[in-house]
Amino acid sequence: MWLTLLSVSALGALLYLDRVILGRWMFSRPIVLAPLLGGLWGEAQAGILIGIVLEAIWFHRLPVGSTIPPDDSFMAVLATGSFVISRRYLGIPWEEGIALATLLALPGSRIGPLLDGFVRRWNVHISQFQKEEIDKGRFRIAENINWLGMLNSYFVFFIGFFVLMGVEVGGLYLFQPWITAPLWKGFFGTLRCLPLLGVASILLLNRGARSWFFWGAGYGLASLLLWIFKRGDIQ
Amino acid sequence: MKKEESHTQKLFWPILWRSFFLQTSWNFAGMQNIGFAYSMAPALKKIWISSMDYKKALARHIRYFNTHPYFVTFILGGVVRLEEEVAAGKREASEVNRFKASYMGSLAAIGDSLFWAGIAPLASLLALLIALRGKLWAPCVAVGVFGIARFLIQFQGLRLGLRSHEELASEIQKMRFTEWAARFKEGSSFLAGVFLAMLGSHPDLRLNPQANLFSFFLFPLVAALFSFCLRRGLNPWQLIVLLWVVFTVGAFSEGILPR
Repeated sequence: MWLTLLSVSALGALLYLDRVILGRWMFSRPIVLAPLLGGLWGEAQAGILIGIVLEAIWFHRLPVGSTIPPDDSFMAVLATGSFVISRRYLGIPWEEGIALATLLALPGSRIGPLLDGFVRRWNVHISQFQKEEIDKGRFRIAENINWLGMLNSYFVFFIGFFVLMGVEVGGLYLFQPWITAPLWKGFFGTLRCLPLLGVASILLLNRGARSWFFWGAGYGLASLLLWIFKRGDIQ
Repeated sequence: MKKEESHTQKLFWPILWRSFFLQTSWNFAGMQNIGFAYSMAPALKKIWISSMDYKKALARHIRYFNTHPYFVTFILGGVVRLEEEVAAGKREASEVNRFKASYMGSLAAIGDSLFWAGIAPLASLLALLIALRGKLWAPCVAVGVFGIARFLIQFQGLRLGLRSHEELASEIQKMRFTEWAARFKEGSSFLAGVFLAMLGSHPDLRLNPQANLFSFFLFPLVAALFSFCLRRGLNPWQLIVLLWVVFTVGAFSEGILPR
């Protein structure tokens, strides 16, 4: 279990670098990160489901200037990693595991920006160090010191994932037997509403009558087509 | 002293590659300053031969800098051209930082609107629609669509910047980014509607097990209500807790919710 926890944290931190450090190629988005991480441990479908649920909740909070929006990538790593570990080693049921791991990972959206802020404050030292190296005429170091920020970030998030995933898996192990049927229903209901919250977030992002018109048109047209072709269950 | 100007054109790919790491040492003091200096270093080495000149030039680029990470290439290209002119004695060194300051704010605004509010939601929604059908290649769509858009902007930005820093503003205007951003937002609104319709028929994610007229109106009404709540100042956290309480209390009292 420890080895899996270590490797999930290591790979999660690597994918997480895409969020800010590598300027985002979408690898850090929940819809990409969760299936990738889950797929490597044989849980790609669970990853897809976690990705769908978490992807759009905080779309209306843009990373403008120096603001750090709620961290959906951090949540996705926590949720997928905790699910993979608890399913493999604690034998948690598939659907219940996804619901509980995802909901317990939600506070990650607050913890991620705290760690990110810590990294950015620590990087101020790199900036000062760079100035000193230029003054000393050590240009090669001054130029390549940029990579130190990546190492710093990777290390902080690796530790963060390792500790918090350990806590979450422990929480899943401890609390799962105590969850009664109505509480499970509460979890499932909440989980199913999260994609709707994502749609609401996109609607808030695209304000204006035209956007609402396009949204309604998309919904109406897709519903009509689904009805015509009698798709029923999509999977 | 300077080397031949044509050398900087050969540095197109190294500068472009390094621009991908603009935010690697993002910090609260100088923001993207370390990454900007890192991106400029190959060009500065070609333009300035003596180590004293190179030192001064590098020191110019470790000051505060913050813009959109993809639109930075417009500035990088323009700054390379300016540095060449400074080296040729045609301009003052102070003009370099004035140029950076004049572009970074406006390009950041354009980039935020185009990418974070336009292309990113669109690429995500495309992937979500495919993911709802259980296809494992859905993430490739998000990475592909967004990656191509990002690469094209960075490539074109550096090309235009290196061509001329004086006509950069009019070149950017010609590309009509704000209009593109508006179209992408409309596209993402449309896809959000399609996503909502498909969500209603997903076995693991639908709220109502029966596909009927009630469920047809339920999803858009709930989404619109959430959007209204978010606009009124509630944050998603409060809504999530509220939802959990409502569903749990409902389940305890009636057992109304489907598994």
